[in-house]
Amino acid sequence: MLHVPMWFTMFLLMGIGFVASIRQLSASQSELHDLRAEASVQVGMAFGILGLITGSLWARFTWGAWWVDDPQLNGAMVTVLVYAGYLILRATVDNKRLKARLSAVYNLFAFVILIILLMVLPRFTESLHPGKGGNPGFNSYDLDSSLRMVFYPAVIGWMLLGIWMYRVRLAAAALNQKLQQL
Amino acid sequence: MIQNSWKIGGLALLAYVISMCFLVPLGPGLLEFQDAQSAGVVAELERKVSVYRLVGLNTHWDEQPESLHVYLKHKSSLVELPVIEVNDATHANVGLVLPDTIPSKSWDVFTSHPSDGTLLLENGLFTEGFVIDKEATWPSPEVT
Repeated sequence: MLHVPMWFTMFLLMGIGFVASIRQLSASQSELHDLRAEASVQVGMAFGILGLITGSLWARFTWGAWWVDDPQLNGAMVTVLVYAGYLILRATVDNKRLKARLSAVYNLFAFVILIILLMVLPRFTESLHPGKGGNPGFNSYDLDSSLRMVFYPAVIGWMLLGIWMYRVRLAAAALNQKLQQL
Repeated sequence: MIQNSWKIGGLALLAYVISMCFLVPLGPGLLEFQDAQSAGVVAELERKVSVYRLVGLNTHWDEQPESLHVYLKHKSSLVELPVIEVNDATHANVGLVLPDTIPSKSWDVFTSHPSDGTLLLENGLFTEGFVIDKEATWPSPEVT
């Protein structure tokens, strides 16, 4: 009820960031899209880190180890580090327009890497992770109905909370920008 | 108020999820399928037979113990394991003879019992030290 919905929420937020970066690059001079991309990645990173922590806890009790050398786990860690690189990149460039364009391009690549590392690659390699490497996820064996009653509301609930956090972060960033312009 | 209804809805869903996690009683399930030696069970069987201890949760294996059936499954490979002993409602020992070459490292464990229905422990058996050949058939076709 925590781990999977948190990753879904991260995907949603990184998707919002991906769209914002495309709009930033498509001749738009508005800084709003850049702020949207930054806010979505910041909040998405929080959900990604929580996803790693909850996954590690699950692994400890299911597999007996906090971390195992598994393509899904390693891919998740690399993805979070790639997005950490996005935030570091933004912090190292002072010119606002250059920062917006550079980070938008980086964000496009980061999202493609997310898709490849988390959704494509683990399906073609041996993996212990449920739903990957031939292991059953939610499809091969039906998710128990009592779990469905909690799982789907959890996905929607975490996504709504993630969007709320994103909007608060975006509003704070926009306000901060206005203050700097004064 | 209406503009913020989706926020309230999100919080309400999460409150529902958290409360359901604590309120819904757990049905029967499988917890562990572990080597009997690591489980502290002394096995006195033929050398080639490994004894595994199956641990359930809220199961009723002591009712009609002869009706407990245990299976290993990987894709189309399905093998029934002999139940050696049902210790109590939640503990049973089963025998397992693995060939040298098997199609996968990980196997799903299924149980069938009149009181508990069919239960599944995904990747319940994870083997090491065997030759993995995806084309290998176990059990052999003539046995099945």
